[in-house]
Amino acid sequence: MGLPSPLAARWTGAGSSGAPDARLAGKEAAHEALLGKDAQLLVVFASDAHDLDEVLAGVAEVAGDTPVVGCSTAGEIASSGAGDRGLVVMAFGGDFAVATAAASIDDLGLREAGAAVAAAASQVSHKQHRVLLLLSDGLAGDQQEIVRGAYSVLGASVPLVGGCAGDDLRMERTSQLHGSEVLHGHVVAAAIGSDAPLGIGVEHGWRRVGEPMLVTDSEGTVLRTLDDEPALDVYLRRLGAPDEAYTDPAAFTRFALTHPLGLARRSGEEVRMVAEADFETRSLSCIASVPRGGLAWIMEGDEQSVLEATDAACRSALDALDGHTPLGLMAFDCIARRGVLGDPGIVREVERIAAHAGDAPVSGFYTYGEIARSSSAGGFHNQTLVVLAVS
Amino acid sequence: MTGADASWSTQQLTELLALVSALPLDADVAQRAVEHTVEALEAEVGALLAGDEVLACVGYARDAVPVADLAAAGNGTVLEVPGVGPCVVLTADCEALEHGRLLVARAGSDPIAGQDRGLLRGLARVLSLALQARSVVADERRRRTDSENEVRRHELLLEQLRERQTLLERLARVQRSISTRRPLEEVLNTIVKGAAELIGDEVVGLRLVSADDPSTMSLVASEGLTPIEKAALRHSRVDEGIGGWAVSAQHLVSTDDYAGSGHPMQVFVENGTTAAMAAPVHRGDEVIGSLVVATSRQGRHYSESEKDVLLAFAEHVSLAVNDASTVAALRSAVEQATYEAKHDGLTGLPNRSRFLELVGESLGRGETVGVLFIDLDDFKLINDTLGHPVGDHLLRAVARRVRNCVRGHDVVARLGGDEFAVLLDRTSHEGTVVAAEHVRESLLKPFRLPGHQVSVGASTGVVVWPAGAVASPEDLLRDADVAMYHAKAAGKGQAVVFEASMRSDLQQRSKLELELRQALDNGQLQPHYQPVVDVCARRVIGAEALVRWHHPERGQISPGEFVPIAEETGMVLELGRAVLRRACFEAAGWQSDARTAGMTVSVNVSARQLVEQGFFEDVQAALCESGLAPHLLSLELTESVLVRDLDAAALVVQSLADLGVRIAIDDFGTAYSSLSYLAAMPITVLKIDRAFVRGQGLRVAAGIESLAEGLDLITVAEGVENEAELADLLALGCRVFQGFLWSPAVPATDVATVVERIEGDLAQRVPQPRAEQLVRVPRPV
Repeated sequence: MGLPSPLAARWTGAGSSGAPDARLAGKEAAHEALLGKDAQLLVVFASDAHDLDEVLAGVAEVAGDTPVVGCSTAGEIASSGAGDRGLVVMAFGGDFAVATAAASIDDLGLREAGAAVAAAASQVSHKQHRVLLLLSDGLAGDQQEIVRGAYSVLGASVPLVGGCAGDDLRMERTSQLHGSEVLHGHVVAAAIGSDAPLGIGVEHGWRRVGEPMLVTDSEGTVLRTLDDEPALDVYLRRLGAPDEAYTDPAAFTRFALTHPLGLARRSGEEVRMVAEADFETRSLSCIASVPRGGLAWIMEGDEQSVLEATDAACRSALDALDGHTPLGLMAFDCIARRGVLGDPGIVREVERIAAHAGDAPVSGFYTYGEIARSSSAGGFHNQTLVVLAVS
Repeated sequence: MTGADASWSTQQLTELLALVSALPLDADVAQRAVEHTVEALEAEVGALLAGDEVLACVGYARDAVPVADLAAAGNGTVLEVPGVGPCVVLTADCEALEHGRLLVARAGSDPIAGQDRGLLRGLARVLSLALQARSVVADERRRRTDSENEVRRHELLLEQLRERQTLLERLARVQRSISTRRPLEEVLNTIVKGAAELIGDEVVGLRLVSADDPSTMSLVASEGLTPIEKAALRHSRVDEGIGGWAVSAQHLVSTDDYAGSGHPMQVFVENGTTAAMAAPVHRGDEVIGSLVVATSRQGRHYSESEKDVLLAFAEHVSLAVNDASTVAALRSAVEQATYEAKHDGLTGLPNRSRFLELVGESLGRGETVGVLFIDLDDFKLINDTLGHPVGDHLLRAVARRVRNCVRGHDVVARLGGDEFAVLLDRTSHEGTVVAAEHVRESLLKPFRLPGHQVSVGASTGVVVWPAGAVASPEDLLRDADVAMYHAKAAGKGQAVVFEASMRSDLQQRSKLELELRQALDNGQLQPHYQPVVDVCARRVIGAEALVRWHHPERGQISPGEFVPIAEETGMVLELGRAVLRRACFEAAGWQSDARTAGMTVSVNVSARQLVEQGFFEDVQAALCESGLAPHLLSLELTESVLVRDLDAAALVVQSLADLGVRIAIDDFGTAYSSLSYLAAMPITVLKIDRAFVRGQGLRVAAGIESLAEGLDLITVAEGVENEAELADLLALGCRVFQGFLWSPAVPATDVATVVERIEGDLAQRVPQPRAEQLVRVPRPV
């Protein structure tokens, strides 16, 4: 692989594969994304139904030692449509500056891991427009801490975008990909620099329902009581949940998917996915912390509101390109939104994203949490669609 | 910003306080607090500065913090933030640090609202309080010796911090429902009350500059002012008094010497005010009044933390006047807090202190007052065996039932634990007794709770105070309590009306309780043994251990008198353990005496003892240490074991049976036992209650006998007093007996001789057992 010519036009490519053989799928998808060219970066989103080592080996067969970042998913998004148990590869080539990094959350802690990978951004600082793409293990703790860690190093100067790896809704273990390694409990990052703007759009499409509840007892990501009653019971009761959700963890997760909580913020609310329930202690676990003393609403969405948010997020990302032609769109879409849309709905969603993208390739995946920090507070989102547009 | 969003501000203060309080001492509090502030205000940049030093910063790349620019920034400064663009700065002082300030900068397109300023100030206050408290704690650990004053100051600081958190949390509860909109003055009154409570001065006043005439201030809310003082402040000059001083100085002011402060108001000097402090109240950036506290106590000096608290309260006032709906919410919060202080959390009924207040009011009106004191029977048993959630459900259900038994204006209260009280005012003696009877009957009916059906019953003490009689509410309640104890002693589920003679009974009771404790320690409580006789086999096959108390002055005290006291006080467990051990040792001794060899010993065990932690181990230990073979020990359980869904009991019973110990059901026939439990439990013996050994009861005994035969159990008839009863029971097929006909319970030393006598007697009067009769001596009792 030779050095890119400074004048080489930037390009992106996306490829997908439904091949059951992992290595073959990796090869096919990488091939389709590259179409024979050399790239600066490959981003791989793959279901862990595949042997991910084999997937990376397949990718390497086609792309050599091109830097790779990626993660396991709960569904993949590609121009050709959304899928499961599949694989999507997005290539960035030409005059993009790229640097990648990985850090262990287990070893460093959430905050320090975020800070560690953020250092990659300094390697692309010669470019006017930069973004740090973060892919993390959503099951590893308060994801907001990772964002804070990265922010503490970068400040507001480098926007953050990305998502939490999934494991097809099993909630057991996710994987993060870096180079030829399949990692767990890690944050991996790719700093991307471009001479042309990079845009980020964030929308969720949920609305508040009913009266707010007070978070009367919580610790970190565990929500113990709402309005002084066990959180699980209040949640299920307010929502009129089906009987199975009261006792069966899988049924609960399915139900909770489309019924997130919204935490009051200065303007609007921060949506929090309820990931798990503890049936013993009657508490709820979310993917990011739920501050005690705060207010929480039940949120609801339907296909219409979700798709409207899709449009808004895409438009937002594209508008930020300041008139430049979009070269590619990457979508980090929460599994909850997928839950509301259902299979026919996600077909419509991907069609809309592709329509906004025009000719530009589209890739992405369904996440356990989304990262987008381009202005003001927060940075870690749930039930949200984050779109990155590059030009 | 809308009303609901405005109340979000106080939520942020609570969150910050909760966040900072939870951090370990060595954590980077400043960094955490700045992050929280930035997120709360949706700002790009945040920093905590002390003088020219940046203690923490968020929003710039780590190595690119523009320290000088930040140090020089003030309200309104525009900072150019890489990646964002121009951002407007807002700062608030943080008193805990020298020249400390908390700073945020927000992107220019998002204007900073007045509420944001108030919020930043509030956050800075909270951070200040928290930093002070933390440094105090850290200092305390470093110091070797403290003068008393220092220690007290530290404690006060920490206490203030805790109280502050409580208040903030109460304010945060507001956000749950903002339903009624109260006038602003009412709400401010409640804030003012809160300030009075927390700071502890007698006088609090809130003075606000008049909208029409900025040279005057009006007194908008106050606590503790005399009419003359109020009149003086109603309309005063804006520069008058300590309040006026704070307004013109635009910061907190205080004085330990009011008269000599340079800003006294004559009327307060005359009334003896010694110290006062005032904090300015803002609307946006404008000072619009002040919150003042004052006292006439000697030697009053305002500590740093108290000043911070006043500043925080003034901040709340500021937030409040900015938005009426926030204020309405604050009002509900304080109302809620007041409500909570007077009501029982679980049932929502008035608590003890509120009840006494109401009784006092009734007495004050000179009406006939009736009081019921209701104590649930067996509540502890239910709580222990079915768990606290079920216990809580039961208490709520009891509250509802009692409520339904009385008139609308009667008061039902929960005094605590399993005690309830009812106040019937404007009643009559008869009316009260009728009400007590309703309650009694109602509580006897079973309760259908989630997953369980329980019967509880209650003992009720009734007291009626005639109109115009002089008494204190405590006296009334105490008399009702005494009557309730009599109700308990009379058996469960009774209602007893108080009589004057009972007062001395109460004293007696307390004395007895003390003596019982001593007796337990001194070994005055000893088991006596009542022989159990198999008439057909002509043998004494065992003896039941019955605890007796030989009181040095009063002689024998019947178990009926002291066992309830033991149960009330929990001594019953210790007593039971002691009796069990004693009995095992005694019975082990019997085995080596030819007269008593082969005899078993039966020990009574209450359901409560059975499920108590460690009971099984106690039995094991008693058997081990005494060397008594397990099959020679019989545990007599009360029938309630078979009545309720006592899974815990079933487990213990099975383990005991596995050990080889025999299980007997005592007083069988007196409760509503479940036959399925009877069939399922590893029981050996049914003891037919003495009520069924004569008269009509014999029909029940017959039923029990057939039941026992069907389930292959042995029956023992208790309390047999004469030959006629014996004959009747023998005719039914019963063979094993206990009662005065043979012997009362006797001391251990007499057992062998009594056994000899009985067996000698039986040998003479009862024909030799025939072979087939012998077969029916399957196992020892």
